[in-house]
Amino acid sequence: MSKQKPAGPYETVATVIAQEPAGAVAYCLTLECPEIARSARPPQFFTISCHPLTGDGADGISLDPLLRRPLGFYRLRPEKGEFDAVYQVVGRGTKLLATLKPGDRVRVLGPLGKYISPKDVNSQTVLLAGGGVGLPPLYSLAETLKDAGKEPIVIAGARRRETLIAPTVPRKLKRPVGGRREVQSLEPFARSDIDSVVALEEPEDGFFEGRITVPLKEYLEQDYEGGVEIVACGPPPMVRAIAGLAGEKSVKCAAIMESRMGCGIGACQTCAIKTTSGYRRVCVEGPVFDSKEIVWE
Amino acid sequence: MNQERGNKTAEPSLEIGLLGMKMRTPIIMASGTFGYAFEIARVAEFDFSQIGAVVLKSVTLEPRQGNPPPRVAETPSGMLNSIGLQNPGVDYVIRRYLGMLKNFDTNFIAGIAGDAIREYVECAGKLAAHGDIRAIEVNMSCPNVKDGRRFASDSGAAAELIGAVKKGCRKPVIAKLAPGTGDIQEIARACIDAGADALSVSNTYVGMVIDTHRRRPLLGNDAGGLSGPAIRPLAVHNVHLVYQAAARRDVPVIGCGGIMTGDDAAQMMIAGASAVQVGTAVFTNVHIAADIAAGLGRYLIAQKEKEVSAITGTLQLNRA
Repeated sequence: MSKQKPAGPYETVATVIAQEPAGAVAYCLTLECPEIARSARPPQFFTISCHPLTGDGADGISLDPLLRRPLGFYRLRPEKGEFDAVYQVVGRGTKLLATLKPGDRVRVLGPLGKYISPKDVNSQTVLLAGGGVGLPPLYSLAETLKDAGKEPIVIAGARRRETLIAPTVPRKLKRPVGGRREVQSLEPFARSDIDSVVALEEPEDGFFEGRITVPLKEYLEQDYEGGVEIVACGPPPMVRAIAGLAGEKSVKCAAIMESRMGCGIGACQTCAIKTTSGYRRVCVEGPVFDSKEIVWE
Repeated sequence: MNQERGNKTAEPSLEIGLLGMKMRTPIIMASGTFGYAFEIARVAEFDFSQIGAVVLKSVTLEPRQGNPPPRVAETPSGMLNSIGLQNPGVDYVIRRYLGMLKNFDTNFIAGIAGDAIREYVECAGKLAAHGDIRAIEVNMSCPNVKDGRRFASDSGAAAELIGAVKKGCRKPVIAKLAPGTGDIQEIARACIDAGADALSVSNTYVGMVIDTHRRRPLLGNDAGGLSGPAIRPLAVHNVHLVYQAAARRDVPVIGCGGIMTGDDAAQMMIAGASAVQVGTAVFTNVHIAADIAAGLGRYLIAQKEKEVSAITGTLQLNRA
């Protein structure tokens, strides 16, 4: 509510509370870190060392891989000083992250990057479209928007149901779309009473068939008395497709971008992506960009 | 109690003097990984007290947009970067960034780069005129720009560059040497002859990581500069070589390459460094300088040394 700038980022040590599978291909890591949990605002992110602290000389320094991994916030529980982060095992670093156990202590830096403040969102309805590990940050963002009186609607895309990072449950949509009222909805969003639909490339009952743009197009056909805009987060080809559709329909679209990262705080220029105004850093100018500004390569 | 007091020796001093700067520790934050200091200073409770000096990210006369991403590729114990000297140009840096330096309690050294000697000279002159800039470090060897290594691989070109920069600015000039460009002792001597007040040894090593699936280099610019603990023994050896050339001329050497711990810093100093630079390690822990300083302090206690400067160049070779 206040104009106060959030403090931080904090260079600190987090304690692993839990680590559980999130769907068939991802993990959900629960960390206790009050400084970050209390100051993070979606879709900010943090970076985490792939090795726990061991108590020896160069403590908590990971040599292989050397760099920390950037992860988005899934569920923020500031009152408990905890948060969840979801990641997929894609390489050596994330494979090591998957071996972290409750009680392990790890070096973290965060919260990092710009956030979306609900008062800067002009539209009443926000279509949060994404896939893969792009969905969890949309969860914390959807909650924030909902708490601020906005109408968040989540649109997810995946190849198969098993590759979703969360289970689905049947749900009666508050705002029917494409003639559908009853659909399969993502369970975490349903629990927060937030509408969500899922597009699967391998069709199943209760799901939209095809890419994420199929249900997104349906949503964009509808009228929204308070206006509508899009926030996209997911694999780059998916975000690009969402941004393309937003462009065609002249709907404002924020793209949450990712990049290989060095410092995470704007010093090293490693995480730059190409934009219409030159290379810009995902870690400080992002991760939220106006999708019109991104030069896709 | 009394006995304890009687035996108590003073904490060893990490303080050094370098190029007219009084430094609380011999730890200098290396160019490129510490930005223009204000970015890192945003971290909560950031403390400059264990940082002897900061080398600001290299600036060029004109703005540079940098290299296409990806700009980083990891390798065991190291990383390659290909930033390509992205910076907003010297005038912008002076106007927008240098004014903030007075808020941070440490010494600042400006890093400069360029293509032509005249660009270096003009940059150095503008930066040296700023009250908070205590010295100029000449990046003779950016591996990520076309012909970037020319000045560091030819002793004639190196001397010409250092001589010109030295003539054009009244602040101390540090020549940052490149590894893997031939006889580093010869280049070091050429820089000293041309008036270099100190030598930084050294910049990153050129390397490549290949994505075997796509059979393409992982970096957008194909090759990049390797940094991190992977290069530490190479850098320690180069510091040892350059120290032999520089010591008899009383020119200090600044050791740089893969330092993560107090012991790493001690190795560099024993090899001949008067101070060390820490770069990549910042990515693993923003407060790394404090850890390295503490480690160095413990090392001095164990070695019964009172002053950190006492260990510089104390290497005893096994083969005399």
